[in-house]
Amino acid sequence: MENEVVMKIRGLTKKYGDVVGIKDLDLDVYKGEIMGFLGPNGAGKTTTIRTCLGLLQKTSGDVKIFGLDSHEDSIEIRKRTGYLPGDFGMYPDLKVKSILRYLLSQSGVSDESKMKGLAERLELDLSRKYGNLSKGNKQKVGLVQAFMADQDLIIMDEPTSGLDPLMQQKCYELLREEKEKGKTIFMSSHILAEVEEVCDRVAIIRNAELQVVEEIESLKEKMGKKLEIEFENSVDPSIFAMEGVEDFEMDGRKATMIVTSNLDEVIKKISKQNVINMSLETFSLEQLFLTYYSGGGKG
Amino acid sequence: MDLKTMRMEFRKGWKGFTIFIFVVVLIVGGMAQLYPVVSETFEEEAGELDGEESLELEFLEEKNEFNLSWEKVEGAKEYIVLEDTKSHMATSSDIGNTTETYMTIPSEDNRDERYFGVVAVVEVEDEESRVPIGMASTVERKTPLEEMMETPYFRMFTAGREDMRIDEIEGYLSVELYSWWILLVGVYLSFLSVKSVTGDYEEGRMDIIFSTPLSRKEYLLQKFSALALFSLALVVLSGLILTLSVYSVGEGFRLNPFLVSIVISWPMLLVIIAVSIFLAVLFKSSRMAVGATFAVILVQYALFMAGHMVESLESVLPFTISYYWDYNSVLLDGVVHLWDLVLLILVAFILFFGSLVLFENRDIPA
Repeated sequence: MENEVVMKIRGLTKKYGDVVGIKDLDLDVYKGEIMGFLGPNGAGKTTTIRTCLGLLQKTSGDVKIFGLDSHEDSIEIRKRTGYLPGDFGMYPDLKVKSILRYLLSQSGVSDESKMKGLAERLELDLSRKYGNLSKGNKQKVGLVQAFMADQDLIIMDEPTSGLDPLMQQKCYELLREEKEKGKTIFMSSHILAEVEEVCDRVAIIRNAELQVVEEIESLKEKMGKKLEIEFENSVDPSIFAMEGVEDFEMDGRKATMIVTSNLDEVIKKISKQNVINMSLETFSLEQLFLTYYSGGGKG
Repeated sequence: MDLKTMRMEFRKGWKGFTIFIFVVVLIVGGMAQLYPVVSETFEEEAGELDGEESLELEFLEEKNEFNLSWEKVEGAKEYIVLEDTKSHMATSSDIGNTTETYMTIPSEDNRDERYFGVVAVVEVEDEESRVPIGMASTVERKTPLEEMMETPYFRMFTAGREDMRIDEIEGYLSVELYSWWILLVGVYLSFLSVKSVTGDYEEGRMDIIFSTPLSRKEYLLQKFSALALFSLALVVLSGLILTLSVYSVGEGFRLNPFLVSIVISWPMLLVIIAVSIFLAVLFKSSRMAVGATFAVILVQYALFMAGHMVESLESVLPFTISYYWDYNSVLLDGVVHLWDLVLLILVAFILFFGSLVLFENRDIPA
């Protein structure tokens, strides 16, 4: 991953009267990465995205995209940025093709091949009226319009919302392909599996404040591993009383624990016993999510 | 400037635009077609006053008074003389009793139109009854049309023109069509104008539209231009249809005044579009913005009407939009008041500029 910063957010705060939408956010998104923006509903994901795009005025702070000011140079930024809103509508009485052509031409692109290719891959019928489409198909229109102008940065607010699992996979494929081509993607989500599957890094926000920014892999490592062992005979629990072992539980001959460090020591202790079964599991983002959202946080 | 957003406005709105133009043109053409039928009803002659042959009214110049005399009625105990300003005598008042068969009535300089009635009080078998003898007037009897045209109510629809004759095509159209043109066209046009902006808010299109490199200024400018072009087409078509319809009822083919007077309502419509867009940007909601725009149009219309009906309210007229579209001067005098139109265009641009400033710095709600 190169370290060229595409989106640079510093001290971004957006208030709606007394309500804080996002507070003092610092975040960098690097060129060529897929950055996940994770948080529960109402955490401030959409506010952040829409403020970065100049749709909302910021209360304070600074957002630079491609080195340009998010509000002063909004038009220049939009020439190079594709955007899929979380909630959007289009012209219900017009055919999808007409709408996409209009948007494509607004972006100054006349080549429709990418638009058609995307529609084909997502099995979207361009000749239908937008108003007659199902929620999932409308989302596909949104995806096509975000990618079709072949821009350098794609910002997506919950891109797979309303899509069936098969289409979700196709969407992930598209995201990975765009990344391969050197595009930068900043996407919000509350679906953990999605972030785990496609993102390189993740920023987690809660109550309008950033909790953590980490590479997915290192985050999971920091979170530790869940170890389950079934012994042949009962074992003295005190042998596992060491640094790096937490939440130890013994249920008959079955032990579970969270190992955050000292894994080697733990294995050596286990090896002195007769083991029937054992599993070592990386923490899922689900657990991570719960840990961060329930307060505190281990990162 | 590229005009994609303007074209889009026509693509998505063409059905509404077409139906609107169709309805307006139908009403405009139809109004002129009704003229021959309606004008017949205005041809009613001035009738005679009841019992005018039994009364004599004489003006005695040296004494500056009227002498009213009447035929003697058998058995009359006394006579009551009544006076009113209208021939119907429904609002008459008693101006004197006499046992003679005449009465002198002082002349009043500021009142030249007076109606008098004389009633005999007859006593038959101890019972008093009143027997009308007849009526007289200081003026020639007016036709029902002339009487109607003098009521304050009617003055609302002539925009203050006292020389208007509604038994002529210009006057007829002025009262029956032009007087409510702003309602016929303005109300729905304002609805379309508000919706063209709030629709993008409410149907979630703003985010998509502004994900493209379209500036907010250009967006509003293209919306305004689309509506301005549409309303221009509307007034030109309506004016042409009106001219043709007038021609078809045998009143001659006259682009001036009929086309001209309708076409010069365009600047007024531009103000309505600008007000609508301003309120749409301000409220971001159809319900609020449509309500506020309708209120503006209706209140200014009510003031315009009231200003012509009640003399003391005349000073409010310059604050109404309708005041600056002087169709009567075109219809009746053949004069276009150019500065009025320039003023309307100026107001439209100021309001539109206000919308630009407002829109530029406002959040677009998700």
